[in-house]
Parts: sequence; C-alpha cells; structure tokens
Amino acid sequence: MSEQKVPAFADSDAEDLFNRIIQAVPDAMKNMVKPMLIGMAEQKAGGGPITVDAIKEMVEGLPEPQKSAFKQVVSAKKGLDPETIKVMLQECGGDISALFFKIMGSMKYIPPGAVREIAKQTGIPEAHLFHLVTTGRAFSLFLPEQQVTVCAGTGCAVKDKAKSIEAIERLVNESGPEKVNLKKVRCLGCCDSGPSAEVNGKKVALNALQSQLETFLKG
Amino acid sequence: MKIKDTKEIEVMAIGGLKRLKPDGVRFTVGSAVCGLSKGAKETRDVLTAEIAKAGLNAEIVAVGCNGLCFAEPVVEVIAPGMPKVTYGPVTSEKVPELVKAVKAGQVLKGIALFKAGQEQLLSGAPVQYGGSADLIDSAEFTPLKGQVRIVMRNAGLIDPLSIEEYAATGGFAALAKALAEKNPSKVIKEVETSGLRGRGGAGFPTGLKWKTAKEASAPRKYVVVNCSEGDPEVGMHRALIESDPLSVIEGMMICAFAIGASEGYIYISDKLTAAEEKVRVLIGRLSESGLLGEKIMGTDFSFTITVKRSTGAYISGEETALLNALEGEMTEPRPRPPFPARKGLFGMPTVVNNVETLMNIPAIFLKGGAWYAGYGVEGSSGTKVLAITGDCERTMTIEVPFGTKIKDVISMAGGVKGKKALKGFQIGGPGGGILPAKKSSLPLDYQKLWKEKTMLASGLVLMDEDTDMVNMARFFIRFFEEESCGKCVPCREGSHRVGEVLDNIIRGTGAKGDLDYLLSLEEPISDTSACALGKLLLAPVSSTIRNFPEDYTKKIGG
Repeated sequence: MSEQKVPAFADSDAEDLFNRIIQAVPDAMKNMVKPMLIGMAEQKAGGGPITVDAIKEMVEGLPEPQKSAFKQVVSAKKGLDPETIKVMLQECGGDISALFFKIMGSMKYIPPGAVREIAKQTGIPEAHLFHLVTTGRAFSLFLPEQQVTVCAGTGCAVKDKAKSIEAIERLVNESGPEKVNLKKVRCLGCCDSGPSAEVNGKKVALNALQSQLETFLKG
Repeated sequence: MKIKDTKEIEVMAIGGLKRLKPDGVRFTVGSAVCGLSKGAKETRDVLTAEIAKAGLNAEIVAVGCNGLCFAEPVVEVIAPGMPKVTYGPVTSEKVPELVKAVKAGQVLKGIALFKAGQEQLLSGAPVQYGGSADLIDSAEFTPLKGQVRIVMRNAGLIDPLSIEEYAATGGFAALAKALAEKNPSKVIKEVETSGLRGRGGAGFPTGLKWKTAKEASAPRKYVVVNCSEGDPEVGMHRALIESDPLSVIEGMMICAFAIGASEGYIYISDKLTAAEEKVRVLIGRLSESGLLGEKIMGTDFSFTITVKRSTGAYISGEETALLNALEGEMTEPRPRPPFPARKGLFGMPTVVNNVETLMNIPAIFLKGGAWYAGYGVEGSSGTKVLAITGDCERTMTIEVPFGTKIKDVISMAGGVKGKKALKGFQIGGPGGGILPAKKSSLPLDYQKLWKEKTMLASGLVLMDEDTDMVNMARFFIRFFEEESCGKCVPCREGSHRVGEVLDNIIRGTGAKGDLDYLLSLEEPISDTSACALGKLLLAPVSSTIRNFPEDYTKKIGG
C-alpha cells in the first residue's frame, strides 16, 4: 500500500511539523490527505529528505481554507523554539514535570527535540528527562493518529466478560503506537457503566470501538 | 467575608445553613465525574429550563457523589414542608415530570429512592426538614443500611466549591478549635486516641506518624496529600476529593498545625482533572477568606498549599517515590529507613497521608478521639470507605464501621450480578490477592485481613462463578509488568518471567512443576524489592494457586 510508505524527513523538527499538520486534518480524511501531502512535500524538497522549509513551501501552495489552517500549525511551531522553552521554564519556576504538562497541553505530545533542548538549558541529563516523560501515562513522545483510551481497572477487567479490552490491545499492538496509541487507564468515569473507552477524547462504546479500530487498521 | 478571628467561622456557617435549607426549593444534582458520565450535565440543563418554565423559586446545586453510582444521575430535592427526597436515576427525560411533582408538593413515584427527615451534621445540631412522604426512610434503604458516614459526611450534600456550605456542616470548626487552643500536642493526642490508621493499605497508625514528625527537629516540615490513586479498581479517592475537597484541605491544615509545618503539597493524579480544578479554585477562595496563607483566622499559624500533578503511574502513589517526584527526581522508591516522618521531602520531616485518612481528621478533632474509637473494633477503629465493583448488582461506594462483615457489605451492593454465585473477591488491591467466597464471613479488620495475607485498600471487587482465576492472576501480573518502575531487577524482570509461565499455563502448555516454581519465586522477589509493589508482586498468583487450585490443574492436568 502506497500510503504506508514512510517519508524521509531531514530532521525531527520537520517530522514534528508534518505530523502536526496531519493532526489538523479531519479524522475521516486523514488516510486520503496524508499521501497527497507527502507527495507534495517531497516534490518541494526536490526529491531529497523533507525539510521544514519544504513543508512551509508546500503549505503556501495549498488552496484555502487548508492554507490558513495549516499556516496556523506552522506558526504554532514557533511555540517551541529554545527561546520559548526558556520562557516556559521560567513560568513553571523550573518545575520540569509542570513544564511537560504545559507542553502536553498545548501540543498534545512532547517533541523529543524539546526534551533535548530542556536538557541543554537546564543541565539535567537527557536520560533523566526521558525517564520522567515515560513514567506513567500522562505524556507521549509522539502524536498518534488515533488516541485510544480504555478502562483497564480490576473492576472493568472482571466485568469485561467478552474480553474486548484484550482484543483491542492485540489489534493495537500490531499497528505500532504512531498509528494508534493505546492508553490503559485505571478508571475513566463511572464504574457502573464500565468498561468505558475514549477515542481522541470522545466517549465510545467498547464493542463499537473494536469494530472501528478494525476498519481503521485493516480497511 | 474575610475571617479575622477563630470565632468568625460560625458567622460564615449561618450563611451556609440558609443555603442548605433555603426558603425555596433546592435541587442537588450529583455532578462528579461518575454522574457526568451518566448524563448529569443534561439533567441539570433541562432542570434549569423546566424550573424557569414552571416559575419555581428554586436553585440547582452541582454536588459531588453520594456513593450511589448505580443510581446516577442522583437528584435530591429539598422543598419547604417536605422531607428531603432522593431520586435516581434522573435522566433528562424524567426532569419535566419531576419538576411538575415538586411544584405540586408531591413525590414522583418510580424514581424516588428514599426520604430523609433530617440531616445529621458534624457541627451537632441536625437540619430538620418538615412534612412527611410515603417513602422508605434513608436508614431503611438497603444500600445505605448499616452505613456510618464520617469521611463521606458531606458527599453529595454540599456544593464542593462553597466554603459557606462547608462551614455550615461544621467545617473549619475543628481547625478553629485547634488554633484557638494553641496546643499541637493535644491534636496529636486526640488522633492517637482515635486509633486512626493510614487508609492507604499499610495501615500505619496516623497518630504515631504525626508524633514522629512533630518530635523531629528541623528548620522546615511538610504535609503531603497523596491523591495519586493508582489502584486499578476504582476511582474511590477521586469521588471523595471531588465531593468534599475542603475536608481534605482542613485535615491537612490540622496536621500542619500539629506537627509545625507551614507548607503543604497536594499530589494529584493527572486523570483527576475535575478534582484538581476544584482544589485550585478553592485554594484561591480560601486565601481571600483568610483561611489560607499568612496569619490564618488572625492567629500566628500560616500555611500554603502547592498542587502538583502526578504522571498517573501506580508507583507515584508509593510514599517515597511520591516524594522523589515532588523534588523533580525520578519517580522511584527510596530505601527505608529513614522514614519520611523523620527525613522526607527535601530531607525534612514530612507527613504523607492519603485523602481518606485526612478527611477523618476534622471529625476526630471536633468530636474527640474517643468518639471515633467508639466505631469499629479493637485495633481497627472508625469507618472504612470501599468502592464496590466488578460483578455486583449495584456498583457503589459505601462507608461502614470496621467489624462489618464483608458478606454484609456485599449484600448492601445487592449481591452478585444476575444472582450468580460468588467465586472470589479482592479487597487489598492488586497486591492483596484474591480470597475465596467462603472468606466473605471475615470482618473488615486490619489484623484479621493481614492474617489472610491481604490488606484493606480502596475497593472490593466481586468475581462471579464464571471468572477464571488464572486469567485474573495474569491480568494482575500484566498490571505489575506495566507499572514496575524498573528500579529493582527482581520486580522488573520477575514480573515478565511470571507472566510467561502464566501464559504457558493459559495456552495449555504448562508443565506440572510450574506451580511450585511460581510459588518458589515469591520469597526472593519479595525480599529483594524496595517497595510494596515488588514485595506483593506474587500475591495474585500465590493466592489464586492456594485458593483456586482447580482452575490451574484444569489447565495443566492432574
């Protein structure tokens, strides 16, 4: 399948930017739009690896309203240059986990480049920072196309007689976290109606989710 | 108003009482996360519209969770000349009928659950409601029968964001009393007399912890609220702190006064956004009211609270890992001793208590340790909040005195779903193992449960006759595999190896020696892990092998 082709990016910044642009595309159109944008960006890059400049040029060449929508994403990128990180660090009073929550809030993920920049600015070892980011389920180092959250507490595991949660886990494990990222949380809301599930923050029924994922991953 | 004297809290209470028993009608809608997920927001919206349409003099208050999850959205109606009537579930379609009935001074049959003639408040004098209604009394309602609400005294009753309403129930009276008496040792004495134990699972005597921190000499001391509930069964602490955050804050301040701390932290799980929001709003309001910050209630006592969000890992609820996280270090446990009460946050004496423990404190200090010790049994005094979930008829949160038999708690929840037989239950979290049905005759009692190699955590999970215990053991081991912080090799690697053996058994390729092998791992892994997560890693496996051997032998053969 051509759309499964992994594009070559010049650096992590270019990849970050591209992923965030894809995130701005409505869910239903992602599969169609993504290969088109990859093709256009590759063209602008002249056949070499895709650079940030090539992506910006590609956005300029798009028709409205996509152009302004994506341009917003491009300018939002400025949110994480070294200067902004410095300001954010000050705002958080040097509290690293508060900083990570802040970045998570504005970007929905933590770009690995930003973690390295924080390490540079604070002198805290990179390994330590990556450890903080990967402890617990609050942070993510990439922006998945679909963020799936399911209840995986004991009560819900007992109630899930059809073993849907396990089936969903198996499905997702085959896809890789960039496509579908599965977050197992211990309680999502009302235990009485559990197990509950969310896709990109919207509540869905567990059995509906299973078939939705099957279509998304295999269709 | 700004409180400038310890006596002024009573003035605030008067304003709050007018809200709890208004001249018009008071509708309270259970709007904690559990209520909202079952449509409380829609119910509230329709209620607002219908009240305007009917021209009813009424106000709608978003309250917390009163523990009746199965009946959410729960609506309570306080109307003049009527007892308080509790309805549930009140979906938005039911609202027009309800408003019509309330306007006519009637009870809407069908969804009415029970009535209450009065409200017992911590402050002493109960709020009396008038009139009568042809309904069972709250004390006769099976899910509530036998409950004693100390921790949940305000849950579902007050607006969690209203300092006035909290004060009306007797809130901040305990703090005012402590500050006026200026005797920290007396506070600790009362907590010791009460016999209160930490409700996190280990059951360490709270008074002793406080005393240790008080006696340690240091330039600074801290109080930390552990609200990073990682227990994989229930959102019990979330329900508690969402419904009555001020009780937690007051408990924390009383502790700070007792041990001589002026700084506190609330460490709250990242999933508890609604609760965190409430706490942050309240910290602002309390500072404006002179109940937080410098010279609280005009005394020399000063206290500030910092809210910090946890990353939601199971390990972040472990006392010493939590302290590491607060310091910006890796969320990994520290070796003990030194215990945090001597050398905790930033090397200073620190009391770490969880939400449920602290919510007991205002009641204990106001009514006296002996009063609290009057509930429960020897060695386990007071009450315990448990979230009942799994295969039960009614999912709910209850609060019962210690000594109550587990099977009685199960009947309050309506027994096993679909009238099936109970196979086993879990009461101590993932590290507490699974007990067989016959052990449900045990009472809630720390010592007796420890003897059964389990604990008392925040939930009671029922498992019906169809539950496969090998699969349950596998579920818990997977939980430990995912949640091990990786510091100690036996826990990090051991969890994977145990998982592999269980996978073999489930696949039907298990060998006869597997069970002995699994059991032989318990001691070494437990002995060589730094925290309870590793120490209790094998409990789900060893308990199921011990209590449900037939589930294993069926798969392995003979």
